[in-house]
Amino acid sequence: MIESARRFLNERLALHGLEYPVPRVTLSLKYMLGGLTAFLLLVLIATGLYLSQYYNPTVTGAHDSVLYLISRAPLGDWIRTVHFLSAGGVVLTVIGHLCYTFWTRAYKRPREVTWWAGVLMAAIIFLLIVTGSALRYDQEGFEALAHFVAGGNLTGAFGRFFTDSFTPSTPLLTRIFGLHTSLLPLGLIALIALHFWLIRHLGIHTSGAGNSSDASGASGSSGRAVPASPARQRPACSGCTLSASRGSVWCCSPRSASLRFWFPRGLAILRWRVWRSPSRFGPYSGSTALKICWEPGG
Amino acid sequence: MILGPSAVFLFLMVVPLLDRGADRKPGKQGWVGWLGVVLGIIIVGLWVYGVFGEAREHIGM
Repeated sequence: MIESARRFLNERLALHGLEYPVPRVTLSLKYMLGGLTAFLLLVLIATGLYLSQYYNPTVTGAHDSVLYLISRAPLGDWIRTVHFLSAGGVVLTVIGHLCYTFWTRAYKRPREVTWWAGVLMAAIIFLLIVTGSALRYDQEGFEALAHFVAGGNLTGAFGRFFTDSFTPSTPLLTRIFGLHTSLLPLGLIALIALHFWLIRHLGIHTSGAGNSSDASGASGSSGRAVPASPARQRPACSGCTLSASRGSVWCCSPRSASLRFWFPRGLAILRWRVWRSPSRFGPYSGSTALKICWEPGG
Repeated sequence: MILGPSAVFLFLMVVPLLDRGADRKPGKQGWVGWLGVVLGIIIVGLWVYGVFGEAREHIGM
């Protein structure tokens, strides 16, 4: 039944368009940081939608609404915690993704725009974190708001939006809430779409993995898409492809029932085991389940 | 608050323009890569200083 549902959706939504080859080397944590970021952003959007139903973006009601959310809203405390931890996780994965991309020089031709879109996304995520801190309107949130005002005053006309003088009709906190829940997420989603589009068509830079050329199913110095070596390829839906090009959790390999990778590699402190359930999802399903179990000590 | 993030993101934006050499090997960024490393060390250093340093008035400085 699941297989027929998958075929139904695949046929009508053209999901086979996502099944493009990616280099085998991308089946490692360092290549999954972008995909992990995208996954955490989805969690943030889902939990943020829930939180916004209870949040009162006014100076007098903001903190009380947060207290209500924590103490009385159904699953409010849990969902707020997930939102908070996911935001922290996004910061870590974004920094990791940025550092690895920088060090492997994946920004070079023809992927400059992919890099710029990523940097702008990082800037928007930074703003989302800061605005989110202000929305709590507790001591720390109030201090964050004071930083906005100070920054707005320092930057003159450019930062006037962040001061109370922008308009007397709407408090700064309410405008920050609007920024946090509409303008910044919209900009982020547009940049994610651009980032994914470019990754899909220009491929993933893999020179950090031993091959100095772009074996990503695309690119080359000319920027023209060229197929990678078949020996290095797997369908994008195979393996534990938490890749930026998919932006979601997909697994696992059609051929291998078990995939292990080590974090940190070689130290065997934590082992993630990812495997699929062929009996439930079929051998080539892109929607096979992801199971991660932590095994301290390896 | 304004200058730090602005400097970091400005540097990141101009990285593809600064590093336009033909060499694509990782770890051979030349001065651009090492500038990024120095910037990262400064950020981490300031972060550690901010966490463990003495609290002081800084808004409006």
